[in-house]
Amino acid sequence: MFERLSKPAKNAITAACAEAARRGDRLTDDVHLLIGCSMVRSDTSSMLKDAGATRSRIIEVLDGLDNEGFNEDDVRALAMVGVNFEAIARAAEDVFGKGALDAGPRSRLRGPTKRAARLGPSGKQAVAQALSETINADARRIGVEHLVLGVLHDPSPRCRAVTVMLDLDYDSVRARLAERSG
Amino acid sequence: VANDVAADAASADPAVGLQAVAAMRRLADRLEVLHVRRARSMGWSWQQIADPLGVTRQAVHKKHAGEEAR
Repeated sequence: MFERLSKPAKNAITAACAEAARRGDRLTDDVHLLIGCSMVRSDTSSMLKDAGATRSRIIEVLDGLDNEGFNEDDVRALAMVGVNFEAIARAAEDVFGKGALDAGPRSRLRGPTKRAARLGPSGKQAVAQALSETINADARRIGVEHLVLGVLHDPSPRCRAVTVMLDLDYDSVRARLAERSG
Repeated sequence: VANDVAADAASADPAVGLQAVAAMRRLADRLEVLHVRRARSMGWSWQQIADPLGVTRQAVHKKHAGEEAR
């Protein structure tokens, strides 16, 4: 599968792995691949840029999701397993000040690292789907456009949340790509 | 009441249980950031912070030193 990757697609995956490491994420997921695709020089990244999905915008949306506070569903789910969120929030506010648990930077499993993060399950699934897209398009090499479609075909919940906020979906991106190549 | 909660948790919809797990993880993460930040402002060494967390000094430094620099 990987031997069929075009150079820009390879670069996109390398950029994605570096981005995951920079964020302190243990694995390279589909959402990192989307960031990687937005970073390499290609028609597809220009299309993403035109659609508002630049690297900085994707990261901004992802940071917003990761730094989210606790909503009513979280509080209810915690109560179901015997955790009193209100009591913890009150105690935290006594020590750290008002709104201590509202939102803020999430601590990572590990800090940023220089070593690239390897592809995780959702990343691998996106690359496998990219190969299917390549075969369906009768193309020889997996291009960045196939990678993007691979990501958008059946994204992980975290990636789906990002793509919904960016208004990117499989069908519309596919149509945009067809428009550009046609 | 505690038994009722336990029974609810045991029979809970997996979606609720999983959401609780994710929320607990985020809660723990958030509290860790707040406590580490406070401990550092009080002059605690990375080793002093690492001990109660049950991790190495290097691990806690790697995870939180970046935030200190911000």
